[in-house]
Amino acid sequence: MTDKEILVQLRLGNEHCLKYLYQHLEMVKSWVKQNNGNDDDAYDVFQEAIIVFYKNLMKGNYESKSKISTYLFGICKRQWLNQLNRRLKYEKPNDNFVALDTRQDDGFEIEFTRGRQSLKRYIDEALNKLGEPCKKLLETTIYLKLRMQEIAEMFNYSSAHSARQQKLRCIKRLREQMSYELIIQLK
Amino acid sequence: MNEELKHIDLIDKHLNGTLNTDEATNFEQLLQHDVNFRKEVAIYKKIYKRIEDKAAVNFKNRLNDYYKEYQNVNLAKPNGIYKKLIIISSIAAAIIFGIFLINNNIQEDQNPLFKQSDPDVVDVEDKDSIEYKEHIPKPINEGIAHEETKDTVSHFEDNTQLSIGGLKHLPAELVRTIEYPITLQYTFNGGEIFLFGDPSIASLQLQIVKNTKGHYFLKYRDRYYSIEKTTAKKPLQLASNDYSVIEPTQEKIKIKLKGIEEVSNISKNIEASFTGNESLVPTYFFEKKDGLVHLVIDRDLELKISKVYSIHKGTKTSYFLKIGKKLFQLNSDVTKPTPLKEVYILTNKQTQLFREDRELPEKMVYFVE
Repeated sequence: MTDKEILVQLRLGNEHCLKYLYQHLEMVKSWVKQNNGNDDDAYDVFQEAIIVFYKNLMKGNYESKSKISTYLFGICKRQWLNQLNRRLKYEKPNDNFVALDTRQDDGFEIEFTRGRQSLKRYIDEALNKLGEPCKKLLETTIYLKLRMQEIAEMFNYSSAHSARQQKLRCIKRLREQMSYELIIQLK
Repeated sequence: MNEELKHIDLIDKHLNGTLNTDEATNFEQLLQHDVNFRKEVAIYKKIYKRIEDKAAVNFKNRLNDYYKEYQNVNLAKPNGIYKKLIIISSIAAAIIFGIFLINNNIQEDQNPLFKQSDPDVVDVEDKDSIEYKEHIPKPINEGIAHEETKDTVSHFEDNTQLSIGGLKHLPAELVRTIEYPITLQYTFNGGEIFLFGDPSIASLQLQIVKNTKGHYFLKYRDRYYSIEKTTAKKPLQLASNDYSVIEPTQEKIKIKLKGIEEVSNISKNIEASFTGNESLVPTYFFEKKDGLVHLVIDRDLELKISKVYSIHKGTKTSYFLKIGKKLFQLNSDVTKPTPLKEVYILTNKQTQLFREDRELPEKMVYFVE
């Protein structure tokens, strides 16, 4: 697949075409390895680079002047150098890579809050009750920040406007399942 | 838009960073003077953060899957020395398998797996090794394919029988055919409507209304179709078009969308077989003879979750293989083994027909005149 075809497919919502980007992983691997890293480090920065690339593309912030490989490689380089600096600073050469997006689940919190009601679980339960396509719609619009035009095509709504309406209705339904007090109390 | 939705709209834009100047002023004012609005903003912040976190984890998991897919495809295209290694090891494997078969046959003549009266053990070994020398994914000999076809058409119950080096038949009920465009069919029990034929219909395209006589209608793409209580599937019947909505009722009806499976028929002129091989590059090809299409798939298929579909649209026919949730598009012009190509289910209108069954949010019933 050429860059152009990949971009077209991704914009159409064919997310799985991201797999073609992994052809550039080898290049990143060999560069990271020359710079005090290993294969795992390379894989991690590469994942992050794909996320940055995809989010920008879907937001309409990606300019396709350069090759995708150059773009990805640029992000990887920057991230890996930052990472190295951080490691040097804290003298923890074996520390695991801290992802750019540090807000994700780390698994530990689940241990602490097991058996108790947690905010995460409370919201997750409400999301599950909401069902599809609302769940997917909210994830796609809130995390990937896709434009409504694209959402309309992906989810088969007649227009960007009706996609927007649908999103708002989903949010409203989600909100209606939750109490203000609980959300504010829960950690 | 009512007040509440307007507020949600503002908060959503605020959290997305897409407020325009007017909206931003409006937002600031509400934030200062409206306690409830302030509360709502705090709530939505938390909800959005959780949705984002969750989506980020899900997305990373999907990326890992894509990487695995990429690796699978890539491993399947080895070059140079690896290719040679694989060919050599396949020849070795074929020979060992052959020896195993001979031993097995001598020891256990009654082995039900090899019930065939004439298993041609020696032939198989020869054939296998010759074919593997040429290229890996081509263990199918056309001659054998035809013998096997003739053999199994008459008694399908034998379809799981392993014919050595040959093909297993996909039972006829797993080879389906559909005429496109599809006539939607429905069942209705008073509380639930099942709609068969197109699982990709958006919820917003459907509305349920009722006239003063108590007849139900389904509004789909600005047309009204009458709905009667029925447990047997009925095609949607176009009703008069000029209704106007008066008021909502207290009634709610659930709509469940079912895939094309239920509107498809057993295909009469397509046969499908598979090799049961677990090759790195699963392939397929078509053979056409006397109006009969024979599809051969070089991989293992789990019968419970695999089906072949042909969709006829005018003079054109598209073929699909569905394995679990995965969909593969097949090109019927292919007469030499060609790698199976997966298509994303949301790619186009046809592939969307293969979406999972869906349950739409409950619909309010409206009175019409």
